[in-house]
Amino acid sequence: MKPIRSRRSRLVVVAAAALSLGLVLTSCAGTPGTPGGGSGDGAAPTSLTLAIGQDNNSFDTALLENGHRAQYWLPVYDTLLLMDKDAQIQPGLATSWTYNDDHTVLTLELRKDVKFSDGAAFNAAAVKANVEHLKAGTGQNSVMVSTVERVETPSEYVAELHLSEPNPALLAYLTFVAGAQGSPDALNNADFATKPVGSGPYLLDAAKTVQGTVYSYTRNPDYWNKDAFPYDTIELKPMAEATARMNALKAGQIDGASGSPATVAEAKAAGLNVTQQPLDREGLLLVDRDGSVTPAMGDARVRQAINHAIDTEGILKSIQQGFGTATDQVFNTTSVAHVPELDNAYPYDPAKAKALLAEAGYANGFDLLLPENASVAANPIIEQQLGEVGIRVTWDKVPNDSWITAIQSGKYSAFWMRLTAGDPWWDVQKSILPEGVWNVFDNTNPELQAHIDAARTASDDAAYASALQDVNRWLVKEAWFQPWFVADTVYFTAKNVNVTMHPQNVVPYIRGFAPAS
Amino acid sequence: MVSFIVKRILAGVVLIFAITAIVFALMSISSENIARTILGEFATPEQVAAKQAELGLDQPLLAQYGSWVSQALQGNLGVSWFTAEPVSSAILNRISLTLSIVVAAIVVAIIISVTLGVIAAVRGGVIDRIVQLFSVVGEGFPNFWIALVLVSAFSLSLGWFPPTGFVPFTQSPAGWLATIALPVAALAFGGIAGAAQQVRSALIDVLSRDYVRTLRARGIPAHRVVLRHALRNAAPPAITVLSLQFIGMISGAIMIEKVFALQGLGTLAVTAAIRGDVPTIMGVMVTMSLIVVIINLLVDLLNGWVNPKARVQ
Repeated sequence: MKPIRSRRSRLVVVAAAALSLGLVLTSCAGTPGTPGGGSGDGAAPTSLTLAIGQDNNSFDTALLENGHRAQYWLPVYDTLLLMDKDAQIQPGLATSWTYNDDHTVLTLELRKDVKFSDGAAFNAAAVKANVEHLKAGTGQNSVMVSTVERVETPSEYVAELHLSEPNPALLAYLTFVAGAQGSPDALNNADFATKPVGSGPYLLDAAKTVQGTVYSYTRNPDYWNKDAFPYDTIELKPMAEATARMNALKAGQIDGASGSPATVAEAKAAGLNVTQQPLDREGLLLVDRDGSVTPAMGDARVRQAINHAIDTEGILKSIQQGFGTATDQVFNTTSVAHVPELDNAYPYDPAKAKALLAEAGYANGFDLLLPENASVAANPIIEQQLGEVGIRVTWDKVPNDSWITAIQSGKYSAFWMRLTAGDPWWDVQKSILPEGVWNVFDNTNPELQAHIDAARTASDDAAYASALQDVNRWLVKEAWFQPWFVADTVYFTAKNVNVTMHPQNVVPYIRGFAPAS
Repeated sequence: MVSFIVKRILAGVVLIFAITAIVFALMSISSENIARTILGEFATPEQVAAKQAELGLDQPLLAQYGSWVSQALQGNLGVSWFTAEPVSSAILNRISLTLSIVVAAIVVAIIISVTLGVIAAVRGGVIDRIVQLFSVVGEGFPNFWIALVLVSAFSLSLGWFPPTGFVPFTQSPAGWLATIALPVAALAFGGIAGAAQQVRSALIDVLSRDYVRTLRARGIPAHRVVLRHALRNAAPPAITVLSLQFIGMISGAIMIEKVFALQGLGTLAVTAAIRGDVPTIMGVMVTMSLIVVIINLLVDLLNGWVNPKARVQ
């Protein structure tokens, strides 16, 4: 074969190579900076760019969600009440709130200077329309207003929420989705899911928003509380991959994103601010307290044995990398229901677990069918440690998309769960009341019910806290659960952005962000 | 030729129908819990049943599929069950991104692989061995790993390119180029490695044929022999490989999009598949199948154009 030797041939080859490389190399001359990014070069920051682990589901107030997705709707909707960093209720669109004596009527005094972005006035009629819209909808948070029987409007700026029974969590709910206020004229618009109309500090910029890619917001010029929101524009980018979020933060493309314990060291090394707070409770729910499926589980000593059998401190260290607080109670460490001495009520003690099993008549152990969620790294530990005290675990594989249906089906006596441990009454409603979705076998007990009733009808904060702590003590004594720890949620921000976490939510609220001074 | 094109188009239509039927059947296996997933843990059984009915999931599978086909033929791909976004709008919003990186990657792969293949075939020696080594090793690296290395080096260390995001060409050509450079490089890498070897082998084979010797004996310059005669005859296998690379890049783009946080068709498909968003999955599958059918048709036509022997009579 004859090599190409002529000058022209070489030129052709070189030209082809140059052309091919050109595409890549010319890109090097492209934008070297950062699209988005909120801060810059010493000037006062005016824009905030956040990455969010999930895409928005809807702007329809009946379908709004708390958690990660709250950051999408918080710029456009105000809530009736606010929760400060210490979980205390503060005025929002409602300037004051009072309950009647039996806590079945909540009266809200409303601001008189608020308009929705379509020009409609915010008033008691708007509150009524929003509560009814949420209650009638199929959103995940319609349960928050399930105890609201009706809303009355004795005057233009006074709304009364009439309840079927006292709901100690209602004020907290009104700081979340239940309090979000959309324009009553827009609630039934066909495009309400994509075109929000609220009274919030920002307006969704439809021209710059591409659903699923970026949500852009500009200041609401008529907002009543501008000083609480220092940024002129906000960009929210759905970004599911944790690695991509970290890279974007490191490169200064975004100002904040949720993180994980596994990436905290990397974030600190990169000079990012790391903020954390206790939020999710992880552990086993021992739901078969009457022994309907597994007779042994009906004995409190067996459930106590399970609590002693599993090394929760070890799981916290090895799997959660220490980002959390080991506990044997279901309530958040920040909650009024929390009782510090219950945190270590069931130390890891296999010998004691065996003794309790023997005392209950299960010296030879018993078989326990558990649903297997492939995402739970602790499964082998559970199987091994329960096995060591004689409880023979059989796993039943359950696909992730069938998990909720499976564990609510009544087939399993116990299962793993990670649940937000927020407002204590929210926990009671979800997991302890007979009708609670995580009280799968509708278990109840007169003594427990008495404590719950005392909390529900408590006349003051001290009585409420005391009754909830009694609930807590009873639950721990009867071992209704086998909590491992309350996990810390982790949030990263750029060095020039300060953030205040919002209690009971996995990511901060938008008003929690501010430029570092 | 016209009947050939018509036959290929008809075959493509049948293929698309078959794919949609298979995907629909597969998705239906796990669709029983979709309503619960949408409504959340607090929904009552009645609410779940109502949602199932609203989504048409209480109908027989064939009726569901028939309804979807009927709507799709009228240009209505439905609405996402989870985000209320029209599927056609979701696809239109994302297809330019995916095509940007896949088309650019294949163009880069063609230019570099042909250049490397030609140099290796013509020059031989050390260069040939380097190209062969690159071809073997290059195909061994997964594109997402290449992507992570590129981000680490050129975005985080050197700061030359943004590590995430996409700027549409219409918004800023320079920004577009900057945001697709690394995804394109990562995606093209494996393609270059595979196609360069193919071009080299085919060209060596052609260059050893009698007619090439004859052309050289007639005094035709070497570059004309290679570029005008030999390369044309060596092209069909390379075109076939590159077309397969293109199709592979469409699926490879899924991982690339995840690494660079690009909201393209791949990300849309993965997200929809994980949560069981049937309308979105079906829309994405139709779009991707259509792209594959069109690419295959174009490759057949291109093969016929560069090589008369491949033309259909």
